[in-house]
Amino acid sequence: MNCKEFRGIADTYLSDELLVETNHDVHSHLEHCRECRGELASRRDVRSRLRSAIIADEKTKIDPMFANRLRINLKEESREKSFFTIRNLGLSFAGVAVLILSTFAILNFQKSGSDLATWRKLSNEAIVTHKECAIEHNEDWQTSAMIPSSEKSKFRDEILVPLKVKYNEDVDVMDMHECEFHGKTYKHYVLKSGKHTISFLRNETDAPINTKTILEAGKIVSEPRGDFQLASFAGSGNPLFVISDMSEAENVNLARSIRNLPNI
Amino acid sequence: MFGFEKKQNWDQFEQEAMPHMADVYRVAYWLTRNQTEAEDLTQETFSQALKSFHNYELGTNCKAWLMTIMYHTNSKRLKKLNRLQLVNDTEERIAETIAFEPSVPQNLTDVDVIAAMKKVPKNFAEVVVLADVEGFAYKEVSAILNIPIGTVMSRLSRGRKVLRIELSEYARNYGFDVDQKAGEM
Repeated sequence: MNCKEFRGIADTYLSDELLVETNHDVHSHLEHCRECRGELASRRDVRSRLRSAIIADEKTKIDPMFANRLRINLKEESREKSFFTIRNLGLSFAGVAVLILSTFAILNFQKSGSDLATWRKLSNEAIVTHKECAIEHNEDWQTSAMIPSSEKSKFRDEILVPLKVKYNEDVDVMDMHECEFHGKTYKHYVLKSGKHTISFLRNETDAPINTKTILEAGKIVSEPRGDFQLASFAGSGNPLFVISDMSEAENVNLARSIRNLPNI
Repeated sequence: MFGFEKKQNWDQFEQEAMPHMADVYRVAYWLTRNQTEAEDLTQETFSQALKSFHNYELGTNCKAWLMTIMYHTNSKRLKKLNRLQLVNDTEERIAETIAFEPSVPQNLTDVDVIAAMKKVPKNFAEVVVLADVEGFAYKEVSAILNIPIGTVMSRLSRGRKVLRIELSEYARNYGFDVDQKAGEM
């Protein structure tokens, strides 16, 4: 092996991808060629510096918040997937289901775009409502109407009591009211847990959104919005929103607790 | 019973796939050269991986499996965006006609190395990142990119050569002594 031949395969040698016989030839050549030993060291150094530079580069490091958010969403996705059920019910059933879903999707195709836009709009308004009602105007609620006492009792029995059990009594209602933003009326339940202020919002005044065209049933969508975390999911009709200044994991956990209650 | 299966599925996914998220993101960044796009690609890759996890054989190379999904996902994204690039012949020809193989001096910084790497044509850079940074074997790179192993080897050779040339350019700009060896390769 001469120097030119060695340099042609030096990198493959470094990658340990040469045949055993060729490796022997390389070793024999390197034994008596100082210049090629230097060349090999230089290439090894370039590779090592490339690796360390790329791994140390801040731009190529994943944002821990993004990683955490992705992990939570994937875990949620994993919980809600019904693949196992479908698989166990057999291919014929899956075929029928696909047919029904396709028909459903075609029928709802035009509506789904507007449903998604409405969902996003409602999410934005829910954040504003939380900020205005629960955070900025803590002492002066922008209340458009009182919630009937029967509904308040229902909320206490069906949502608050189970939450108190789960959170060791560390959940209190600060206010329950209906508030109005941009013509949308929300039932707004403001809760306090420790130092955190939590809003649970339900919009019931618009025509129900066909949530199935947007989310799989029960799936929770979580996203940070400024200083708050917003988790939304499909209730029995319209989307429900849980907004707080807790961590994303805590907020999703709370939303999950509410979603899992029997009458949501 | 189904709940148990789901939990087991997630536990295995978390154990096998999630530790490679930072690696997938890093390669996604080098593929897209954009942080937002790299996050989108990472998210799509893991979502797809979770859906296909029943196809993954436990104990095999999960990182390579994720990279394969990522490149496949990226091809689909590029097709959708009409940005799919075929092999750039001009870049290949430029790399072929490199006459000098200068040695690389020691005094370069990480910033220089990154800047030099960004000048390597993308087709070559992606194989260099997979083989020399992420440590995949040639055969694995071939499977990830779905290209013949011979193509992997020729792109690697050219990519590494271009990188050395670019690094020596940086060194020359700093006034370091760069030894030029004409026609050695």
